[in-house]
Amino acid sequence: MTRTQAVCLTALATLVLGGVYFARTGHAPAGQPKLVELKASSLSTLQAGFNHESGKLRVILLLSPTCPTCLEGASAVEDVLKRHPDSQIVVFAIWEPMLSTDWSKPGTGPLQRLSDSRVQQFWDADHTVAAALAVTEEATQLHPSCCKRRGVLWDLIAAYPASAVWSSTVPRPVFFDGTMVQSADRLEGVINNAK
Amino acid sequence: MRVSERFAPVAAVMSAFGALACCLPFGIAGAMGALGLSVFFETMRPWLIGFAFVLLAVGVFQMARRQRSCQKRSRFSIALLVFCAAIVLSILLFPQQVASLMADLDFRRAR
Repeated sequence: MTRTQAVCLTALATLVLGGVYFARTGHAPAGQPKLVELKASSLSTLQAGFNHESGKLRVILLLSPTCPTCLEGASAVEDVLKRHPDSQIVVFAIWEPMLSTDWSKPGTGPLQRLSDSRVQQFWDADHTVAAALAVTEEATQLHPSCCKRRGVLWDLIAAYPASAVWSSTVPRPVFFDGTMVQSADRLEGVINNAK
Repeated sequence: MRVSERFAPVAAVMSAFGALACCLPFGIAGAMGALGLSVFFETMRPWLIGFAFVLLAVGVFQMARRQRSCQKRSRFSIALLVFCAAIVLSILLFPQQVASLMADLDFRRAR
């Protein structure tokens, strides 16, 4: 083996090992529960969590871990939360694979973008939450101005009033739009109205 | 998206000019352009990454054949090929980190 080949192989091995390292499930920020993996059969976990926080404004975010616009949106929502530290609000951040580069669960980097302790983060590989929101979208005729790729909802914010209950279907949201980075200001309006 | 509006055409133009440069193997220049575009055009990303791979292979093939269109094969061309290959692998292996970098750049500009 020549010196050049050895250098190339070492570089390749380093990159692959780095990839494996970063592909591990990320750590949720301090104060938040661990990242929960959602399956079609375990959507009730999210449903129960949603109903458990009844009496608070609840927000569902749909986002992809390798979409720069989604990550910007996550940071924008985090900024909104920082401006309202005392608001009664719970955010359910649903990460889902939307792009070909979404081959692993969100790592620590994407999870840390939503570091507020009122956030709970989920990995939804089967788009079960997006499908549940799509059912309500059809029923209520509340269509976002963007946010669909191959029929799957993403990069959007859905906000629910304190009185909303998730029974057989997701309740009607008071706000349902994206992209997240463009809608963060309007989410802030919803938070102000809920006070 | 602001970044794509500004950078995508620049990446495309760079790619075109790079392909015209006599001493720069076409594959390398094209791969750079395709990679640049893949970062910004999310929906076309799989095609563009695949295209970048094909163009990198063309670059390697050109190197291997020792084509001497202008001068002899330069160390710069080899370094560029290695650099582009490293970027392709980085996007494939560390997509979340690359996306975070792009998001940070755009978010700071938007503020």
